[in-house]
Amino acid sequence: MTTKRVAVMKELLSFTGIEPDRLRLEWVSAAEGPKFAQAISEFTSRIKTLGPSRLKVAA
Amino acid sequence: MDYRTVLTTCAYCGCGCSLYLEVLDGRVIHTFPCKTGPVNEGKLCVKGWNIHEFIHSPKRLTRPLLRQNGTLVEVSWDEALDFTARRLREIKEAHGSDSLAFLSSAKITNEENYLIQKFARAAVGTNNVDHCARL
Amino acid sequence: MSEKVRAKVKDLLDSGRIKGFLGLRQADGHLGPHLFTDGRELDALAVGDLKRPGDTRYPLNKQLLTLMRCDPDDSFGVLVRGCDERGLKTLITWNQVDPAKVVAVGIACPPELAAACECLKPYPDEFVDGGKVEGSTFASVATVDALDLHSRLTHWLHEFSKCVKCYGCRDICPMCFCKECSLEQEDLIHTGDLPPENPIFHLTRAVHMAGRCIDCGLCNEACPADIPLRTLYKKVAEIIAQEFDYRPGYVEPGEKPPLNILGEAPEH
Repeated sequence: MTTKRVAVMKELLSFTGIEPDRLRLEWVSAAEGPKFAQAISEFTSRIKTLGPSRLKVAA
Repeated sequence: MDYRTVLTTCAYCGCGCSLYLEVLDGRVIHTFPCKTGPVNEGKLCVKGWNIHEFIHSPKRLTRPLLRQNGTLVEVSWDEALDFTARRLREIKEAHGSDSLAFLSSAKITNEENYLIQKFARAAVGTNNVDHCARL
Repeated sequence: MSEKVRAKVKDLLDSGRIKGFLGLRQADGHLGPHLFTDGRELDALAVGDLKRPGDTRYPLNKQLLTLMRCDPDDSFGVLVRGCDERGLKTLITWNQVDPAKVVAVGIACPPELAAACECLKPYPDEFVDGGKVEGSTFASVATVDALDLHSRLTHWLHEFSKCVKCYGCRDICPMCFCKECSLEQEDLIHTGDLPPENPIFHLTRAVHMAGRCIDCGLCNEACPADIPLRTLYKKVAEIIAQEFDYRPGYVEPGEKPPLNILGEAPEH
């Protein structure tokens, strides 16, 4: 269900001009510390590349 | 079941938007903008959309109330009007006409609004007249 | 155009098949929604179009819901265009309308209205009057799609900033039947902000239209700020159609929307 909703949301974000990469879905269990760290590192680095959102500036 | 839609005019301000009230068994339950209303062309503001809510509100003043020793007490129209007339006269005599002001309403008719300003100007002698929907 | 509709409705009322018919009535210089309960008052029945095609479209299905909730034992008739019929089917899917208690009397839309609406199917499955006009594609969506990301955000931020938060888009929507609305949840939408938090308010509503919006466009017509809401919800409908091969109102009543069942995940 979440997979479906996130897929729809990414398309909708793109249509309204927000980078869909700002939304990411990942499954990590409580026993997968390294995977969690890696996912977060990748995500933050992607966000840093994208830079501040214009929504933040507009607000 | 008695269901009808009634065409009327929004009473919240002076724009005069046309709207339909949905009335179910004598209770006004919903509002729709009139699509062919020349003023609003099928649109309403947030107040117009919710105009059905005040009609049956328990907060509405439906009988004269007089504050006696800090609490509002239901009184007869005669008693309320006598009290108001006496106090208006006392205040005017003590402090002058411009110590009084009159606030009118969008939810009464044009004729009633006319009477209030006429009363303020001709009977009391002040131009202190305003209206809750002065936009 | 209304003669055939009038005859059909008269038959339904006189035979006792329906207790009342929700249609449009010519009165006071306007065409407005009215519940006809007597075959003798049908002279005033109109099917729409006071000055131009489609200028008197009302959310009759929304009024039908009110009637059916109040009087669940009786049957009612309702005037439907293509969009209204999609709405009726979707309300049946969402268990809001008992199909045995509704008789739809269909009319097909004229070409001007069909084109202005960019309607995929400007006619109901069955209609007693009007002619079938071919549907069109969503040109308004393609226009925004053609912009780059930066321009799209500029476009929508500008449009959403005009919002006066009248909730008219929700209040006129025949698919908005929820008793509790997300747009009134303090955690999602702050009270007192004007314009409402941009773009949270409008995206929240857009997401709720996924699998539900039947593209009647009444929201767009009711918007006092002329925000192109219809284009936004058309896009949502396109996303749902592409990802899940589902269009509300075009599927059989009862076929649940993809975001309300587990089902297959999208391919990408």
